Amino acid sequence: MKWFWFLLVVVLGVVSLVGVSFAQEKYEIAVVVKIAGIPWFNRMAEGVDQAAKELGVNAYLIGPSTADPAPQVQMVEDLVTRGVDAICVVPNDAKALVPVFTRAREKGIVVLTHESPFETEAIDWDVETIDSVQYGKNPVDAIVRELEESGEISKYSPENPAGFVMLVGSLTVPLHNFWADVALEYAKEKYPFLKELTSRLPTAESVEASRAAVLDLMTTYGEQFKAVIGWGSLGPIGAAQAVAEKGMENKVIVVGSAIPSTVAPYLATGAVDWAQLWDPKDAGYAMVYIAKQILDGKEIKPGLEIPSLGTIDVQDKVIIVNQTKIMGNAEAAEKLGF
Amino acid sequence: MKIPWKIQRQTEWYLLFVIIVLSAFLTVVNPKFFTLENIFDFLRNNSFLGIVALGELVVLISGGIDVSFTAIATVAQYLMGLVISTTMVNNVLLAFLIPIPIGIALGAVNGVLVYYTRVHPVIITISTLNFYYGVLMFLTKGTWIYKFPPAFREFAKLKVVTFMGAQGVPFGFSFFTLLWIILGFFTFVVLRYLTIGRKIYAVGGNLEAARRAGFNIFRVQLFVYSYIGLLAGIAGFVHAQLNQMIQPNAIVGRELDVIAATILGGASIFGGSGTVWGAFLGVLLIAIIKNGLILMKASAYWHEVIMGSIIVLAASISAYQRKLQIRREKGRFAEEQIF
Repeated sequence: MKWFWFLLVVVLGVVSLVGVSFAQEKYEIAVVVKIAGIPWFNRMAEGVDQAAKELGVNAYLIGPSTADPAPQVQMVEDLVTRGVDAICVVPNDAKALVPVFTRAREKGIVVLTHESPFETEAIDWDVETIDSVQYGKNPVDAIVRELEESGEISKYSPENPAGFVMLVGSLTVPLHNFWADVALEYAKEKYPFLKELTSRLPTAESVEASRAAVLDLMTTYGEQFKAVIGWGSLGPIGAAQAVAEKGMENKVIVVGSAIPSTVAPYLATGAVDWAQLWDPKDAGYAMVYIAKQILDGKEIKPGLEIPSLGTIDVQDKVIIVNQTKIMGNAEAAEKLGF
Repeated sequence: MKIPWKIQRQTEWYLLFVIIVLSAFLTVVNPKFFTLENIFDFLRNNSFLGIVALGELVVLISGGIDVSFTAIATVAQYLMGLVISTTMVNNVLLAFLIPIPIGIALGAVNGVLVYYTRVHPVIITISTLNFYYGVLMFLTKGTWIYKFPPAFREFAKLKVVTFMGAQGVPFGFSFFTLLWIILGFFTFVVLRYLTIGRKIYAVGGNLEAARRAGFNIFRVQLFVYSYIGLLAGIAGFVHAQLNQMIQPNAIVGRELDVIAATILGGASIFGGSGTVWGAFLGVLLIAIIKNGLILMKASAYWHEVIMGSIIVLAASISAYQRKLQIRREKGRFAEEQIF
């Protein structure tokens, strides 16, 4: 029987060698999101899967069951230990990930992030599918456009300003607060007849909280309260409900980030006037595409083309391919298909 | 008044005092606070919180605690949303009836587990919270529901009394506030006048004594956990109505708000005490603070700080009052034993 065991070992050895060499041909690219299983990241997974198929890599999307920093760090740690080729992360807390990112890069793993253009010390690149500065300015322009269309703009001056309020996801979400800062600065500079009535409110992750806040704002400021910008995707929805409850669709302008399929009915009734967002599918695709380019040893520089998304721009460690989706009306929102 | 009620009453009077002082202050800062429109609005906005607080009250009185009601409300409202958005049944009464049996059934599971495993209810209900919520997330992938039949959308605007606002926009006393008050009255009757209500106080006051007195502990625990399940189901309906959107992750995570409001209202975490009136005032205080912060034009960076300070203040005042009360009633001997 000895020869049998010998043969078995040889066969197993050969098979596993072949297996390993096969596996090595395909890069393993893991995308770790804030929380798995919610519609936003399901849509992102579509982009990751598409890139995996088109580029011939083993790319997949995972995420913790709650949007907490600790389980996400744990997941990334496991990936580093397993030795994948690239890790793309949409961080819950970018600072909490710094140590594990450092270890990953020491092991030669490519580290990319998304939605985190400020904490770039420990990573290779951050990938954005919007121009964050432009994204911050857009809603302000939209408000002014609405005021022009209604002819009300002549009513307002720096002495008698049109008041607006901003809703962010929380006071610690870096991107929301960055956009809010940009918008504030931009409004001050370009449209002195706009004025922020009260500092940003942390309600935009909840329809219920945004609705209640906007009802209170209408009570508090009355005629002065002219517009609301929601930076989190549920802010405009909650604001729209408050505005509709009070029959103020034509008096209060609601703009901001919103998911197209959710916001379309509100755009149709005029409760929401204008919305913008990026498609998480694009972001998922772009991250895997960039990771593959780096693993192939290609240089990342402005002008590099991501198929169907366009050429990239590079600012410091941030890769930008501007794919902001603008929704001026319900049809535009419905056309986006997510 | 009978003696045991007197002790509990004190807490509520002091809470009411805090609420009146706070309201007076807010009215001075912004006269719009004390308008019917504003009061009606915030009562409506807090009807979800108020209804689940009634359920938590009953569980706390029985000496238990339930943190899974957020998941129960979510599952109940989600299944309701699924049914009405796929069949587009244009009937609100039917929609209202769907979450109720679901709530009762999921609550009853808690009751059975708490009684038979004898594990602390915090642990049982944290587990069922995760289980109910986890299964829902797994099966639905977190998809939102927001396409409702017209009747369901129109019903949200239903008011019991309607007034004309300054801008020609009607406002009024919402049906959901009325529902909150009716359920509050119902809970009051159950606790005060029904045998089961007296048993709940007895079991919460001293479980072992109640057992030896021959009470059926299982029935009491099954009742209280099913009761909070029932109210969670109704609250799930109210939440879906108010927001016109059902998200699996919108309610889960707010357990502590509700428990805090109930305890603020004088319910003891050790069981045996608490009143409907107190639970109502507890929710009201939190609602007034939230509403007032924006009306006072306070910066959002201060919201949490102010909220925390007022709750600590209110809780300390009522705790101190209770201490004085016990001292007065039980005399020196008891005081030595207690402190």
